[in-house]
Amino acid sequence: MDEKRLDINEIYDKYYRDVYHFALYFTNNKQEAEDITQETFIKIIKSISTLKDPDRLKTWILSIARNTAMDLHRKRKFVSLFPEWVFDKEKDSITPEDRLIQKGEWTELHSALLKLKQQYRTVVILRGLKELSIKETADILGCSEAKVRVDYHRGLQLLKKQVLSNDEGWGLKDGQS
Amino acid sequence: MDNRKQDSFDQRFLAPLKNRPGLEPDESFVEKLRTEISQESKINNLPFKPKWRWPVLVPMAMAVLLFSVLTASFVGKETQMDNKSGSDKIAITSDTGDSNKKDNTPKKERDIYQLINDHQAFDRLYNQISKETGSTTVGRELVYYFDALEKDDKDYLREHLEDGYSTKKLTDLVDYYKMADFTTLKVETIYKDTGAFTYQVVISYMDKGRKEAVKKRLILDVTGKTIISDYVTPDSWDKEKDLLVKKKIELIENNLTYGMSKDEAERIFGADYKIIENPEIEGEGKEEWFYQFFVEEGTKSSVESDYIVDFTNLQNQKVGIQFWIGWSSQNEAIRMTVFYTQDGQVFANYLTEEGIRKNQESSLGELKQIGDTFKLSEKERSIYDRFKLDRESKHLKDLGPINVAKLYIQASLDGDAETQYALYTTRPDRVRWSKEEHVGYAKNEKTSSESLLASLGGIQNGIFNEESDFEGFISFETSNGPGFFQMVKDIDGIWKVAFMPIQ
Repeated sequence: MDEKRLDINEIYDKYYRDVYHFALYFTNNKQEAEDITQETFIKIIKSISTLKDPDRLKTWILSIARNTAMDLHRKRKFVSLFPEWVFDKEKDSITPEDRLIQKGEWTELHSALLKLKQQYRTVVILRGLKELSIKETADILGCSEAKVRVDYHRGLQLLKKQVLSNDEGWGLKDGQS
Repeated sequence: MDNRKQDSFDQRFLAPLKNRPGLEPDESFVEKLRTEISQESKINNLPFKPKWRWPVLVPMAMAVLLFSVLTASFVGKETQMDNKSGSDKIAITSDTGDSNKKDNTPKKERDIYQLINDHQAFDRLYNQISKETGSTTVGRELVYYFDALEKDDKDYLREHLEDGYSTKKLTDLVDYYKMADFTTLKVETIYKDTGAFTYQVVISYMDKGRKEAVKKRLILDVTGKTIISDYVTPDSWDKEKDLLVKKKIELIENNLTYGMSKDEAERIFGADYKIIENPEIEGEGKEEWFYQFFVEEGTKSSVESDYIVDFTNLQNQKVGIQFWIGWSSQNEAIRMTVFYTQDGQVFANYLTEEGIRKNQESSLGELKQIGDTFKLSEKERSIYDRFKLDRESKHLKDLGPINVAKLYIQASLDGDAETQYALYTTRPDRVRWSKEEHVGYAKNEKTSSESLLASLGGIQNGIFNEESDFEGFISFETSNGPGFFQMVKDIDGIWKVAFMPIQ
């Protein structure tokens, strides 16, 4: 993107879905995904002048989204004394049709994804679900490409293991957040 | 497992999550955030980026501040002075009179979030359309349109309505909606025209004056700046002229024949035509005869060329009929198109090169209520009566798909299962059951006329959507929402009802 033509409205239209998808995958909670998306764009407005290389715009935005999601997660973890209540509240807002749709296997995968450590969850979302390149993922996470490869492989292994353990009722400690 | 196989396995493993439902954000959230960001960016003075901003901005801000202070004190003094002297100069300060204030205030932009927050029906309309179209544009533009109608914002309306809205017509439109209860506003159906950024939207609301529900079709073109087509039948509609047009149309329709000679055409339709060239036709058929009937004296065409339909004058009833015949190099009619108005609606008939007639109703304006108005036209009735006798397809050869569907409904209303069966397609690749099975089923499964008309009566006001050379569907409104009725052209070129038990 041309440096002079960085316009927040264009940026928003181009990337809001990516940010929201990331946030939703990260939290599996619509309200939290909206909060993260909103906060991400507010941060973008405030700090866009610090972006040195406009070619990095997408990875820069997603790195803000990731940090925002992790911050929010940290805050929620601290105040979340009533997980059942949160869960029930979310359930109440789901219509019978939604429930029917949600019977698909994606729910199982998503709950397994949420149980992964953030380090693995993020890399699975970026690489596996948002299909970013290894280079882009490394750029977002601020780590080496080799680490992305290793973490992605490990993340997927843990995800599969988690899904299996859900099926068979095994407890799993490794790789959980 | 090699790497490629592993990758493919991983992709399949993640696929349900990648395609999970509810992945997209709510349109109302997207729109709300867009508004917030836009406002926030204005506060932050975006768009910008340069790294040299601060060193320049700080002295600039200081300069502006200093200037503001000086100006404020100067203006303050001026105002005080002018107040004393009663001079008109006071108008340039903020203490202006109301009328001046109104003139100087920049036009307030519509805020979709504010509107849907304040107006439950707008919220419903906006969310429903956004969900159906996957875009916020159409919903937003419709909400803006109805808000402008409600607030009598003629500037906005003039800017967003299709060309040809004179001040009088605009006033008619605003007056027409005066009795509309916008709290009951609902979207009945919405279709996107294939290959275009045009949407046909059917809305409904309660009319407080007439004390009845009104359904209306609008067209939104969102290619660039949104242009809305909305049509209101003028109060002064000339019913007598309608009758004359109707008679003439029957004469034209009954004599439209593919391959007719120029002599024949002149004998039947008269010699009062203009010879024109249609630049949109390549090769044969460039030459056209252009007839206009029932033209009000002094009427000026609203289009730049005679090969273009003059919708404005047709809608204003200043022109009753426009009719074109395209000629081959052997002077045989190879194309005919006729446009005319009835009861405030523009209708069109085409005779294509394949000799097939297509009827198309104007997709604008108020829709007749479903059910109670279902009626075969005189022509349909006479064909239906003939068809019932021997059930031979040849009787249907001049009918379009909607006409045939209407005969099917009539046969259902009459409880005539055999005629109904004879209206099904005979294409070998279409699944059919036997006549005996059909008759037996019809005997056991009797449907009341009311429920039949409630579910299918809207077909007569429907739109035929061609899917291929021999297939298409009629989209129409039912009392329960949008309805679709599949039609198939038999090998002999005659439209029939597709065999679908749910139809």
